[in-house]
Amino acid sequence: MTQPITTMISDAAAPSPEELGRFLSQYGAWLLGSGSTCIRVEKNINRMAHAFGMAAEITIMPRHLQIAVCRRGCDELATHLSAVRQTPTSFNIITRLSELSWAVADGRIDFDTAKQQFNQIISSDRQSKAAVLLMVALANASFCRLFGGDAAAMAIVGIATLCGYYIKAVLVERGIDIRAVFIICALVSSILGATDILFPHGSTPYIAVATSVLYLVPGIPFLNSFSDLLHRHYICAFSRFADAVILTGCLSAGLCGGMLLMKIGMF
Amino acid sequence: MIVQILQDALFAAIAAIGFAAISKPPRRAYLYCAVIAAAAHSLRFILMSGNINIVVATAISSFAAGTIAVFLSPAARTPAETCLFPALLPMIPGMYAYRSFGAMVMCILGEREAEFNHYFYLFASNGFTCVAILLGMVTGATVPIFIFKKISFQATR
Amino acid sequence: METPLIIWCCTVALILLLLLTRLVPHHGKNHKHRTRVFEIGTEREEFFVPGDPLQKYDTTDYNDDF
Repeated sequence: MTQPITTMISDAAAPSPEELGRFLSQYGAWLLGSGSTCIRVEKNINRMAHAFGMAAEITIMPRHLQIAVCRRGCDELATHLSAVRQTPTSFNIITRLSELSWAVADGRIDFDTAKQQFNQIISSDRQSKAAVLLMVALANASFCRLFGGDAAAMAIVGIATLCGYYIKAVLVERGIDIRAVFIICALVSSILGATDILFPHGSTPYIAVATSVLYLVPGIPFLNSFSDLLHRHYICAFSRFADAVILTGCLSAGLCGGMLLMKIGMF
Repeated sequence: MIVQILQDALFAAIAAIGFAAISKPPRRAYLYCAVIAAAAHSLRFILMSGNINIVVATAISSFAAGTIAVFLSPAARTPAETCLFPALLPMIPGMYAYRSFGAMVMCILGEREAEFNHYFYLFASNGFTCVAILLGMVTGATVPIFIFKKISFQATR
Repeated sequence: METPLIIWCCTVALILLLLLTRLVPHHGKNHKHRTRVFEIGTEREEFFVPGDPLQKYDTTDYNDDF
């Protein structure tokens, strides 16, 4: 008499392909949107699907993710399509979602707990804006030093970055198109970067202008695109590359505009 | 020379921490990012001082960065790329990228053939170098993740 | 050398203005009745045709914020 009840309880605890598909498509959309590579999305999703005795097939498109989940040895199949989340890159989310996938795979948490933890992870990704602003300014100033800039150039690049990044944060917060934001920030940073040319203090004014916009270079999208290329996810690789190239183009447009206004030649 | 190398490592570490902050890594990853970036960038500095081409130097130092990241990531309990990608940011050929765009603009604005040819040369050489560096960098950094697949994909377990 | 100097000064002035307006706290009354000269509309407003159903729930349609 007890045997069937136990089976029923374990059946109730395990998700149906429909439920699991819905969860995994959300999970994948967040993981991909947070800047994960395609190979990691595939690995993490398959890992969790296997833990529940199911198999998952994934199609990753630049803006959408499609998942088909079926129970092994059964005809029942659930397909889910979700739009990739448009969120800023967050390695914190990627790390925590990867941890979650292992917790599920090792059977440490059940499906409902996994859903709860997932919601908690995506809603608790906070970071101090002021600290990031200062760190980016300091980083770009050090970058200027790496290119051979002197102390005056470093200070100017630091201030130019501080202003540019602050404006970027304000504009992004207002929902302005990211491409326009890049043009404006590059323009402002390059004009401020040219301070050393207008009021000569140091000996490397041109390095200051050239490095003042480097904080805008979309490094992670470039790296992700080539990583996808190596893993033969060509469509995602090209779309990420196109995104990164367009942003670099916008940044160059802003920089060219700034240099033109300040009457400096790029070459 | 040693002072220069140490200086390069220090500033690369600061740059890596700052640029990493944009892509929100977990707090515990910052230190590892800095260590990997310092090692990789100073190695590239040494190689380039020895007149090795920038593409080859970047590929070699990225390979070193990838290897360190794979072995550090279980300690940091993060996926390998969380430590690795922010650490590679100081080596991203940003200047080549926007110079090639700048040259393209000058190419369009240029009126004489000689001018066009000159700027087209600058556009192509900067663009090719940029793409080659990126390809070398990512290949170099990804190879260790493949070689040590077991460690790198189980780091967050 | 004149033009670059003027542009530089304008940029710095604009940044300072932005900082001032952002950092100085607004007073309740002024803030409520402030009329905006420029405003960013949503894509839905842009393509709205009279007769379209009004947006009842919180959907984002296609407004991209990266």
